[in-house]
Amino acid sequence: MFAKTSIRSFSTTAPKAVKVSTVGTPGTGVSSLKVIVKNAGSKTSAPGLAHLLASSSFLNTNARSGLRLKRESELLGGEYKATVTRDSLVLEAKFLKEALPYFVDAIGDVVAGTAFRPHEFSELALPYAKHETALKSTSDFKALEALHAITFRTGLGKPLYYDGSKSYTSEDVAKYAKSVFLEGNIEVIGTDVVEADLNKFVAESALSKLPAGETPVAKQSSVVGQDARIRQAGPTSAAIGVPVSDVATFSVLAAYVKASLPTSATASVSAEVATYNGASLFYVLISSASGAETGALVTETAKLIKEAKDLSKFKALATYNELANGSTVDVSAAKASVSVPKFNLAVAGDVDTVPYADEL
Amino acid sequence: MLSRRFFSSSRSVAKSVVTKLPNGLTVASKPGAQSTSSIGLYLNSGSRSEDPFNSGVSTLVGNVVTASKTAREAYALSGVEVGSSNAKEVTGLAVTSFAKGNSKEAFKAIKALVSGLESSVSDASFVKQKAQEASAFAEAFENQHKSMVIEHMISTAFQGTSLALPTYGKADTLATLESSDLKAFLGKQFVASNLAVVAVGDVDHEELVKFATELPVSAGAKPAVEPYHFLGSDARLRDDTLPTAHVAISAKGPAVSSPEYYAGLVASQINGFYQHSGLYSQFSGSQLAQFFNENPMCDEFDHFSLGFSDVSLWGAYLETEHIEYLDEVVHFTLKNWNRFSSGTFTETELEQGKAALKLKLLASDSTPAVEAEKLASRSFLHGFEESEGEIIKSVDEVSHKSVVQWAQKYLYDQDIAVSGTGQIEALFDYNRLRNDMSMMRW
Repeated sequence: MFAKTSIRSFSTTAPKAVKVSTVGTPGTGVSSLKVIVKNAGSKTSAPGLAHLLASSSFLNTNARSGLRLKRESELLGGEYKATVTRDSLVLEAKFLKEALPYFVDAIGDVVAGTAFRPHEFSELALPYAKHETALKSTSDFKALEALHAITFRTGLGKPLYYDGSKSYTSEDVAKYAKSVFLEGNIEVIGTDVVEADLNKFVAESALSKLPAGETPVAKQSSVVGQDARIRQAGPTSAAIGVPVSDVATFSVLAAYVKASLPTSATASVSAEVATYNGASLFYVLISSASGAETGALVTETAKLIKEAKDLSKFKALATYNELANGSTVDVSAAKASVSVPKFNLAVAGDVDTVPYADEL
Repeated sequence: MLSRRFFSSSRSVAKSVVTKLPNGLTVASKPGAQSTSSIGLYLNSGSRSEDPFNSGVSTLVGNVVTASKTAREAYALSGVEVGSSNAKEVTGLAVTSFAKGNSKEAFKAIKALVSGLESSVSDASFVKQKAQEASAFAEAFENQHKSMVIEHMISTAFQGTSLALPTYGKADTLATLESSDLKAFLGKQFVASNLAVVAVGDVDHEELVKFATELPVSAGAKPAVEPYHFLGSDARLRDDTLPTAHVAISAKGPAVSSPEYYAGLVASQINGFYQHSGLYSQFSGSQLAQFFNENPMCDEFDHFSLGFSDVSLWGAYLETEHIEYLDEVVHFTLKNWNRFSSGTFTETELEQGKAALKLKLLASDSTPAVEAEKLASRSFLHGFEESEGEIIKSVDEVSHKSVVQWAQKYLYDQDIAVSGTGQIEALFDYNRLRNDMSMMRW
C-alpha cells in the first residue's frame, strides 16, 4: 500500500515547468514580458470568445482589483495589454526593469485568478471588444479576414475579433478561460531580463500552479479556388492567398511579388507568409482608393505567382523581410521556382473592379 | 518611489559612439537590440531650412532618393530597404534597413545613392512626378486630424519664421518644385559639416568611419537657420462636416538642451495620454483623466513637449465628440495646467510622471531606422547621445520644486498657440483661452 501511494504521488506531482525563455540582453532600462497562452486564440474558441477573454484580462482578479493593478503599474513605470491572435492569447507587459517580479506576479494573477465579474463584462470587456472590432475593420482587415474564412473555413478561418453574431455572458468567458489556462499552454518570454531571475519569479508565481494539460487542437483543413466579395464604400482591398507548407519558398515568392509589382504612390502592397501553428497562409494584400488600380494589381499578381521562376536572387530580400516581421524562417532551402495555379481571392470595397479568382 | 541606488549600479549599456571627421561630417553608431540594422545618411536640415517658395523640398529630395532606380534595385536584389524621414530640423536622406550581417550591401547602396544624387535630382520628369506625389501626400496629411492640428499649432506659434513651415511641405508649393529647386537646396545643405552617417545595430564603428571618410561629400560651412519667434495666436480650420472637434494648445518651452527641459517632460507625463474608449482608462491615476471620467466630455487628450534645437512647445492635443462641451474641455485642461504653477500636484503624481517618462525614453523603438533618426538628431544637437544612465539621472533630478519653477516660468500667464479643426464653434476666442493660463486666486 505504501509503495502504491508513493508511485501515485510521484507521477502526479512531477514538476512540469512552464516553458520560459529570454531574448535580448539584460541591463537595459526597460524590460518586457510576454505570456503566450497557446491554443487560446480565435481558432480554438467559439467565434469571438477569445477576443472577449483578451478584453477581460487585467481587470479584477481575486488578488487585486483592476484599479490597483493600473495605479501600481503607473507608479512602477509599466504598461500592459492583452491581445488575441489566431493561435493564442498574448498577455504583455513593458516596464522598468526592477518591476519584473511585480509583473510576473500580476500576469500570473490574471491567468490564475481573474474574477470575470458580470458587471465588468457588460461595462468594460464587451463594449471595448466591440469598439476594437469597429476600429480594426478597415477594408484591408476585412479582405484578410475573408481570405482566412474561405481558405480555412473553421479553426483559423474563424473571425479574429468578436463580431456580435453570438451572445456570450461573463460565465462563458470564465468557462473558456478555465479550459485554456493550462500549464501546457503557457509560454513565457522575457525580453532584456536576467533569465535566472525570470525562472525564479515564474516558479514562485501562479503561472506554475496552473492545472496540468494542454488544449487539443483539431487538424486544420483548407480549400483553394474560392472567392469572397464584400461590397462596401471606401478603399478597395484584395487579398490573394493560398495555404502553403513550404514556408521558405513562399517567403521568397512574397519578396519576389513585392519587388516585382510596379511601385505606386496610391496603392499599398504587402506580401508575406502568415505562419500559424498547424498551417501557413501565403498572401498578397493590395489596397488602393481606386478599385481599378486594385484590380490591375491583382491581375498582375496572379500572373506573377502562376509561374514564378528564378526566385533565388530574391533570397536576400526575403531574409530581410522575415527578420523585419519578427519571424525566423530560414530561406536558404527555398526552391528556385514555384507555381500557384489556383488560389483564393477575397475583395472588400468596389468589388466590380476586381476579377474573380477563376478569371485570373 | 524607486530609489536612485537601484539605477546607479553599473550596467552594460548599449552606448553610442560619435566621431567627428576632419571635414566636419558626423559619424555615430550604437548597437541595437533588433534583428535588423540600419545605416542612414542624415541632413541637419529639414523643413526649417526651407522658405515659403521651396517648402517641402527636403521631403522631395528624400522621396526622389528612395524612389530612384538604385534604391529599388538595392531593395529587390540585396534586401536593403531604402527609406527617408522628415522632421523640422533633420532629414533622413537615404536610410537603409537590412538584415544583420548584410551591412556591406547597405554601404554599397548608400555610396551608389550619394554618387547618383546629382543625376537623380536632374531627371526633370522624374522629379516632376515625385513632386506631384509629395503634393498629394501633403494634401492628404490635412485629413489626419491629430497630426494636422499639431502642425498648424506649430505654424501659428512660429508664424513668419521658417520653423512655421509644415514638415512635409505645403501642397501648393510642392506641386511647383523642379530639379533646379532640389539642386539649389542640396548645393547649400549637402555639405560635410551638415551631414551625419548614423548606424544602429550590427555595424562596426571603425568600418563606418572609414566608409564616411570615403563618401564624395564637399566640405563647407554649416548653413545657418532662421531664429524662431513665438507669437501667441490661434489658427482655426473649422469644419462642421467632421464628427468631432480637435484642438491643440501649447506654450513656449525651453530648448531641448536646456536643463529645465526635463521638468516639462515630466509635467507632460503627469497628465499624459487618455483615451475615453481605452479599456483601462477609467483606472488611470492622472487627475485630468479622472476628471474626464467623472464628466465624460473629452474623448482623448495627449500631452506633449515638442523639442527643437532652440525652443520647445509644451501643451496638449484635445479631441471630443461632445462639441457643445469643447469650451469646458479646454477650460478644465488649462485649469489643470495651473496646478503645476501653484504646486498643487501631489508627490505621487510626480513619481508616476517620472516613471512614465523613464519608460517612454528608455523603451527601445520599433525599428532601428527610428532609433537611427533619434541618434542622428541628438548627435547634431549635442554632439553625443545621452546614455541610459544619464537619462535616468536627469529624470530623477526633477523635483516637485523644479516642476513648479518650470511651470511658473514657462506656463503661468504665458501666451499660447492654439489651433483647431472640426466642429470648433465652442472654442472660445483667444483672449478667453489666454485668461485661463493664470488664476484670479492662487
